[in-house]
Amino acid sequence: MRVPGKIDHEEGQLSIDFMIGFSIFMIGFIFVAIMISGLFVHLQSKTIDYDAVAYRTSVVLIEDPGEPSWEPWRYDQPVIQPPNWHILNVSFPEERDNIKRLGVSIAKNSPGILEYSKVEKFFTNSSSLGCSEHNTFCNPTDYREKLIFGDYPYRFNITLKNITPSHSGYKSLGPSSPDAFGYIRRIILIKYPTSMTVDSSSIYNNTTIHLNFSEFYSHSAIYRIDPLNDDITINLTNITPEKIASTRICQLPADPEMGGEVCFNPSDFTYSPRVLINPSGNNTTMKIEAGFFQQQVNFDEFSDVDIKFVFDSVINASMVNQTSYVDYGDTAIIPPLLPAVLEVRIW
Amino acid sequence: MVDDSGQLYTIEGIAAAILMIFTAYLAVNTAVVYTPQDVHIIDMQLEQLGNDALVVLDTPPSESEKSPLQDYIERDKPEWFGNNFTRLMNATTSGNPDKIKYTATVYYRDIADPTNVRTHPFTNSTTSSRYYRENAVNVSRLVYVNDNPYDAIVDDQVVLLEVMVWRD
Repeated sequence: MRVPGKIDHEEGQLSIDFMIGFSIFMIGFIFVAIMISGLFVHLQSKTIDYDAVAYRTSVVLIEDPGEPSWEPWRYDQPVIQPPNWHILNVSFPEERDNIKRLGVSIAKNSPGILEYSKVEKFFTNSSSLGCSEHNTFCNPTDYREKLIFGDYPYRFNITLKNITPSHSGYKSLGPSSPDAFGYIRRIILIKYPTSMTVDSSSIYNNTTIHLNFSEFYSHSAIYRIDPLNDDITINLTNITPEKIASTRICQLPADPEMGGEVCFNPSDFTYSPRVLINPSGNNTTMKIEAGFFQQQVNFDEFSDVDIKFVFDSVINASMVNQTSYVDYGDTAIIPPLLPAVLEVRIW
Repeated sequence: MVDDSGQLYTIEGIAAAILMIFTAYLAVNTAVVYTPQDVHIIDMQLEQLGNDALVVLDTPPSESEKSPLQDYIERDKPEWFGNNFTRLMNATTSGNPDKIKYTATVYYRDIADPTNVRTHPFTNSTTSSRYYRENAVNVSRLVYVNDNPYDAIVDDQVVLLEVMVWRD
């Protein structure tokens, strides 16, 4: 108690009791102040952010052809265009770096219609340390960098399933999700590669299969035979690989006066994309991988191509030294577009 | 000895701290603030799914064919539309299928009076549902038709298909 005219030596001092009480109060206050921020989680929730990222990811993935993307030449485009990202061999670092964005739609004007070859390549991934040395995407670094974007290292799970019961197909990327995640479901159509079947009874010992690229590329992107971006499969029935004496892939000259055709032996190409000739029972399947024509032999959408088989004479003894000519465009089966469901989960 | 007046005691500090922490804990754990943005996101997801389904149904499977949606409207087959629309809308990649219901209407121009827009219910009792007061969204698509589906429709016109979808 202050007495006028007397010096109080205890004035201005704090008691230990007060110090302890005030300290406990302050600790409690700071703790509550930190907790208060958590109250606003519901107002600006992470779920909303995750939902938005899931939606953005689905749009980039299924409504965009990716970068680099290729389309047949038009008057308003540069003459030389980079090939589609899915035919690049990502075991080469510079080709991996060239891929800026992963999108699996066929073209800019066909959002939601996916190219099967792109889908296959997209889901080809590896989580191992040496993944960058193989023709696979590194999970999750490549996907975060080229699809999810953003500074935050989002985790993701992308699944795709065919809806048509006769074409069951299921693809999955990323670990299974926790209980809370951002989500979007999209319905899409998938365009599958074309194939043709040739029976030994209908062909001679020299057989040429003709592919007129400029005719193929005059059709709409979602229905055309696309030898530059899709696998081309030729099934030879009742012919084993041993009966094939030689196979050549030839580009015919645009003007016959300019010179002869340029031919390649498919077995000279040992790394992907390449030509695979495999037996299946009594038959042979020749698969020209997506990108072979563009990456390995520099064909373009105006090329006129002959695939020339020479079979052993035992195949059709009465027809030795005769040539049969089959047009791929007339014979090939173009599969219908099939619906599928895609789910993106982000957390 | 210090005077008692104006002092905060230890027990009061502890009590205040406990009260504050308990109050904040209660507030954090009980108040789930359901913001308009959350509802908007769910609506957006449903609308996107509905639009995707209509795009898929309105794309011809091959170059020489009509789109399934055009075929359903021209032949007035709401049950075909319903089966395929619900199959697409409810498909998931894993687990149980979704439970999405719909009701659909076709808007078209009257042949006698082209300025008059008429409606035709495009529903079927086995595939579509009655709408009461569920949280629904509308999706629509302009569909080209060139065959005469109903008496009053003009050949070679674009009709509007409007579908209301909601989750059961």
